[in-house]
This record gives sequence, structure tokens and C-alpha cells, in this order.
Amino acid sequence: MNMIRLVHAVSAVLVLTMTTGCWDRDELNDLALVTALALDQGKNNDIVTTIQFLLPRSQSGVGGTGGGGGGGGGMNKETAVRTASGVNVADALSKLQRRMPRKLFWGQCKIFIFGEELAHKGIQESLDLLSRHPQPRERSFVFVSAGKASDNLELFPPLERTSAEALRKLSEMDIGYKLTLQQLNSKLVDDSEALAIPYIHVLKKSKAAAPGQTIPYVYGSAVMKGDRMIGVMSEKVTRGMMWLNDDIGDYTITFWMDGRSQGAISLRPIVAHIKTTPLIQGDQWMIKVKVNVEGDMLQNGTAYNPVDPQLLAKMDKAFEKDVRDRIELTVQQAQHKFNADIFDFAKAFHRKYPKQWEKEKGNWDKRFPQVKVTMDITAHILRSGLILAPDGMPHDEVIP
Amino acid sequence: MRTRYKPTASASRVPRNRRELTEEEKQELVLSLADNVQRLQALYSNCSDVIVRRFAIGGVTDAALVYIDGLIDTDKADRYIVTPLMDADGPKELNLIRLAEQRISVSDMKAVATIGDCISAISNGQPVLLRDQEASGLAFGLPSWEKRAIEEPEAESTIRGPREGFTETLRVNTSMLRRIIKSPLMKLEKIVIGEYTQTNVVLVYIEGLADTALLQEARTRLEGIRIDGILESGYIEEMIEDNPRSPFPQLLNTERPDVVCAALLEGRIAILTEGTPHALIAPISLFSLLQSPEDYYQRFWPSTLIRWLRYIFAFISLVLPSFYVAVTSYHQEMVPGALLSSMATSREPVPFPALFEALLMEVTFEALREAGVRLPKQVGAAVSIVGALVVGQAAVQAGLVSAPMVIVVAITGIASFMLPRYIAGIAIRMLRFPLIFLGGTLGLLGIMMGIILIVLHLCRLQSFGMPYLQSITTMQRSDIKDIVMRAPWWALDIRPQLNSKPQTKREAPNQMPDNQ
Repeated sequence: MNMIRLVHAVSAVLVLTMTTGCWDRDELNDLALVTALALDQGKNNDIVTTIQFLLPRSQSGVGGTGGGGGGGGGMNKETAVRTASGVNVADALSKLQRRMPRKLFWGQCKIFIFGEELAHKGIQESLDLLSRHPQPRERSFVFVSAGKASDNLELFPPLERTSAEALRKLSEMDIGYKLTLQQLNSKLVDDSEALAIPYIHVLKKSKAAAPGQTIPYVYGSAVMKGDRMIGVMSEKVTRGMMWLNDDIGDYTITFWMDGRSQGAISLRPIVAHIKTTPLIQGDQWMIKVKVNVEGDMLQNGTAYNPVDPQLLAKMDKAFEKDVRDRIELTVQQAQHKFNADIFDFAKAFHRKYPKQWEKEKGNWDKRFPQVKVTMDITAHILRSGLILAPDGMPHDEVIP
Repeated sequence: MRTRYKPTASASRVPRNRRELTEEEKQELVLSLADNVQRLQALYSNCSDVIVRRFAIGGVTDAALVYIDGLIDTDKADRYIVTPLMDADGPKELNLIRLAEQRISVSDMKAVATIGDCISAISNGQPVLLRDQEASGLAFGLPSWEKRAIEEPEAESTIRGPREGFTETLRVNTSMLRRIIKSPLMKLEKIVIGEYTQTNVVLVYIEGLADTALLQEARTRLEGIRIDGILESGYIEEMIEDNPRSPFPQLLNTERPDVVCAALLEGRIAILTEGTPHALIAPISLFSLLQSPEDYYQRFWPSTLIRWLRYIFAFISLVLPSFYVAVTSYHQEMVPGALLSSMATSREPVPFPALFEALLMEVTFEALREAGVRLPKQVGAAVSIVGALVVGQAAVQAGLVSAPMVIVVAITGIASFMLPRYIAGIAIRMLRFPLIFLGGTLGLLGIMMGIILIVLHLCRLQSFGMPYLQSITTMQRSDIKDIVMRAPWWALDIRPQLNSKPQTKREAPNQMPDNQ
């Protein structure tokens, strides 16, 4: 009786595992671990896809696979790239798969790069695949590249194993602008229909480095209206945008005292609290920005001794002015140069004034440049560091 | 214990090979010494170790001393039984008991009336004295045979705690218990099991602490055993388990008297078997297998931490290889990128699928372990060298297995040895293989299914009627204190719940020392 049940159970398990199991199995040896995907505009409206994948055998140490000693130019290449083009991304990737002896594995791909040309034409269609496909991660980072996107993949960073890894670590350091696939997707359908994507360049390699031994890095951002790129914002303006979006992380801010006459002061880390409040008065749409920012002195290039409260107040003033200038510059560029609501003011108005927003919705392109941004900034230098008076400056030169 | 006892062993089992007492054995002793001796000699025919010493009491009455050579202290028998009786010159009509009371200076003495009594006394190292014209004899307790000294139990060593372990001699073992628990409430009930071996088995419990229903159940189960011989307590264990097919042990076996006494004080029962140092304890829960006696001897902070380490490693030992197989062959996206790339690199030269690689390594490891246990100690070193070199390094260098797999197998092996109970480690190691197979065929889904099956099984399992997961399913605060942590002794004031009866206190209130 019990024996029969046991036999039944065992045969059920065997049927389950033997007849059905394993079809999803992918041994690591049968996978190509894709680290980054670059999408470029090809000829005849084609999409060119380039992947960067890990070469598992090139590491030193394990596995005496022999092989021709010393191969290439002395640099230990850990990645390779492969390219294919097609009508759309899926088509191109399926062609790419035909040129790869191993199955493409997207689970570890954390970098997607759009070429500038493709970004100008629109990225929405290509994004569809990245979100629809189960393997790519929602939290991977998206970039627009200056020039061709694929160029960023054929680099061999001196520090990281892959250029994709270098980009990922740079983004995760929280000092620059970054955007994940998920954020990109949600920003694309936001009320403002405008956003900025980190813009990457290839860092000029140092003289002694081997060819290609450098990394891509983020500098500035690509301004997108809808899913099309309309221009490039400088790093400074991008940071202004981060200020307004309360995205500002750990980074050093440097400003001049009284124009350029007195020398520069650098502060870090910055603790900033930024609050934006929309306000509609009659026909005037306004955004009130309240900034509360604090920082520690890192370098004092002026002759001011920060121990003096009056001088410190002066420094605070200069600090405050610098922050104001940054934000104003960004707002100015967004409103008048690009006419792209990269700050998502639209959503703020939509939330607070849903009725007015319903009426003005179609008119946002005209409305946005007229939105008045007022600022209320409180800036403080909290600590002067280990020393007080500027270091190495004769006492009589220090302004007390 | 509620009423969830299964039909008792004796009721459900038909005694198949029960050898009834033979006619000879049932016979009473008769008046004629010659007849009695002749009948004993007939039973013990061709037994060269049985000695019948005939002599005359006071030079008048014929008598005989029957014993097995090597089981009794011959010197004492000569000096305290034979010599005084031969020298006796008292009245002839004095019966044997009166005579012994006056003449024989052996304290352990009892009357025997049947041939069967004589045989059982003789085989237990008690010389039997028979006298002519008397239909009963006397058995004297003078057993003495070669025995192993009390040694430290090697399988259950502790850093802090008593260092003595049980031996093969039942009397020595019971004396060790009695030395620890001096109260007369500790009872030792003797049960003889085994048709030919006639092995003495002792059921130990503390009256008032052990549940009477549990005791009755234990007695019935023990008495229901019909077998030709008991050579080790393992025979008994398998005959009285609640679920004989489970991979999990439902009785705890231990070589340590202190562990037995701790169990007795908690209201459990113990079964001691002649001829083996391994005592059995029942009922137990899953957590009894994860507790070391030392947990209760060290201070409670280290004990708690070590206990948690043990829980974690018990789990690791169960699932790590299957998890590794599942992740490398189905869920590569779950591994951090940098780790995956180095795993891919080391797997690159390996020609086997991860499932096969894992099974290969695990089987090799089990073989090495078994070889290490079985081989003479002198060869053991050679095995470990070969094991470490061949499996550890050469296999990786030859590209047969990947280095991460070796690490996984090594960690798993160490984890399974971390369990204080060898038997629990084996149960978990056994279950590891089906899990590896499930992990290699159905991925994490398969592992989860396997774990659910194991948990279901554990939920159904009972040890002498007590649910195997009792302490965590009832969430009894007093029990949890001894599972989630090892509460300090002043807080462990209530005995664990083994049945449905109210728990009893084991400490006076407010035993926590004052904070000076």
C-alpha cells in the first residue's frame, strides 16, 4: 500500500523532471554575458546594434587553456564587441545572435547607449524592446553618446574590466546626472514630455595609454523633447537642472567672491533642500523655488578669514548668488533655448491646479517659456575646516 | 500527549518469531541435586565455558555451583561462597537461604526456582548455587568481566562540560546516571529484548516528570519488539520510531550521561541498551538535533550566537549546492555582475553541466568522508591528503570542475559537520541530493518545491506522539526562549512542553542574580 504510493510519487517526480525539465537551462558556458548595448542609426533607416560582451577566458589564473601565448598588443582585453544591423532593434539583435556562437544574455546588461544621430530621430521605438524583453533590467542606465554609440564600447578601461562597468560605476557614484531605463520610461510619458539624458563622451586618452585604453564619461546631457533629441546642455546647466530637481548629490561647488576679483571658494559636501511650489495668479504661472543649502569649506582662495562673522556673511552671500546664477541659467536655457520642460513643472501644475491644467494642457509649449521662476535661497557655510585664516598667507595680508 | 498515539506496537504487530520458553526452561527445580544439575548440563551441552563445581556443604550435603567462566569473579566466588560453605558445620537441616544468611558474605543474592531463572542468572554472570534435597537455588551477583574504561565520547566532544561517556556495560552506564541524579524518583525499568541475545534494556525516567502515557507507550513499544538479537541501540531505534521511513531521526542517540540526565530532567525518557554506549532519548523535536550540550554550559551570549550560526549552516548545508546549480544554470541574472563574470571564467574550461558537476563533487565528497571514517586512523591522513590534492586542486586545474564548485562543496561539507548530531548531519546531507537534482532540472522553483515537501514532512513527523516541530508551531514562549536564543539559566524556568499537559516549573521564582 505505502510502497505503491511511493512508487507513484517517484514516477511522478521522474516524469516531471525527465520529460519537461531542463529546457530553460542555460549553462554559463553557453551564454554570452552582454555588458552593454549601443544603438546607432544605420543606412537606409536601419538600426545598428553593437553589443559588448565579456570574454570569460582572458583572465589570468584559472584554466590552463594554453592558447597562443601573448596574442595582441600586450593589453589584456576582457571584452569584445559585435555588430549587426536590421530594420529595428529586434531584427538587428536576431541577426547579431546569428553571428554569436553563444546565446546573448541580457540579465547583466546595465548600460544602454543611444547614438546621437538615432537620438535625434527618436528613441521610443527602440526603447519598446528594452522594456518588453524580460531579461534587460529596468534599473540599467541609459545614455546618449556624442558621435557613434558603438565607439564607447570598444574601449578598454585601465581600471575597470569593461567600459560598461566604468560607466555604471561613474553613474552610481551619485555625483553626476544619471537616468535609469525605468525613469526614462516614466519621464517620456510625463506631462512635460521633455527630459534630459546623460550625454557621454570618450575621455581623451593619456599619452602613455595603449590605443583604446580610456573610458567613456558623462559630461552634460542631451535634451529630449518627446523622444527626440533637440540639443545638448553643458555640464553646468545640467547641474542647474539637478539643483531644481533636488537631485544634487555629493559634489564640490566652487564660486567666486565679488566677481573674479577676490579669488574662489570651494565647498563640500553640499546639503541642499529644494522645494518647488507652483502658483497661478491670474494669467501668471509661477514656480516658487525655495533652496536651503549648506556646505563645508574645502578651499579658500580669498584673503578672507571666515572666523569673522561679517566676512562669513559676505561669503554666504556670494554662495547664495552662485546658486541663484546656476538655477537661473538653467531655467533660462530650458525656457528660451530649448523650450523643453526638463524640470517637469508641468506635473507640479497638474497636481496643484488640475482644472487649469486641463485647459492649458495643449498649450504647454507656449506657456512654459512664460512661467516665472522666483527663488528664495538661504545658503550657509557651516564649517571652515581645520584651519581658519587662509593657509600660508602672511598675517598682515589676511582680511581679519 | 493527547490521544494521537498510533495503535501500539504490540497490538498491531503479531509476534511472529516469538520463541516461547521451552519446556525445559519452564520446569521447576526438583529436590534431587543430580537431576537439577543434569538438566542444566543438558541445556548447556557443548558449552565449554559453563563450569559446574560440585562440593559438599560442611562435608555432608552435596551442592553445586554453576557459572560461566569469564563472567564472574571466580576468586570471590571461591573465597566467599565455596570456602565458607565447605567449612560450615551447622545443623544439616538448615535451608539454603538460612545457611547463606549465616555463612555467605555476598551482598547481592536472590532465590531461583525454575531452570529458566537459573539460566538467566548464569548468563548474566551470577553463579547459581544448588543443594541436594532443596527445590530452589541461589544466584549471587558476582559479575566481573573485562570492560572498557570510561572515556571521553569522541563523537560528541565539548570544550566545557563533563568528559565521561557511556561504555558498553549497562551497569556502568546506569551508575553514571545515578551519580548525577541521586533522587530515588529516577527509575530504571529493565526490559529484556532479543530471543538469543537476551539483551538487557533499561527504560530510564524520572517519576513525576515523565508523562505516564508516554511511559506506557514506550513500554508497549519496547515490549513489542520480537527479534533474535539486539546488538546496538540502533536496532531498537528503528523498531520503535513513529515514522520508520523518514530520513529524520525521531530518537536522539547520545553517548553522554549529562545529555541523558538533561533530557530526563525535562521529562523525557531514555533507553539504555546493554552492549552499546549509545543511549536513546525520546521524544525529541527538530531542534533537539541542533542543540549541543555545550550550549547549556557556556554563557548564554556565545551559546545563542553559536546556535544561530548552526541554524544558518544547517540551511546552507541543505540548499547551497542546489542553489548554486540553479543559479548558474537558470537564474544568471541573480548573481552580481562581477561575481558572475568570474564564475563564468572559472566555469569556462569545465565540460560538464553544473548539475553533473555538483553531483560529481558531492558524491566524491561523501566518498572521502566515508573513507575517512572507515579507514584505520593511520591511513586517514593519506585519504585527506589525496582528497585535498585531487579533489581540491588537481580537479580544478585539469578543468574537470570549477573552483567555485569546489568552494561550494567544501562549505557545504563543513556546514554539515557543524551540526552537533552526526545523524542530523547525515539526514540533511541525504536530502541535499534530491534538492540538487531538483535545482538542476527546475531551478529555484524546484528547490522551493523540495523545501516545501521537506517542511510538509517535518510538520507531519512525530516523535513518540510529540510533533517534530512542536516548539515553533505552538509558539510557546517558554520553548521559543530555548530556540531563538539560549536564554540564560535563570530565565529557563519552565520545562519544555512535550505533551498537552500544563508545563511545570523547574526553578524557584526570581532566580536572576541581583544587579550589584
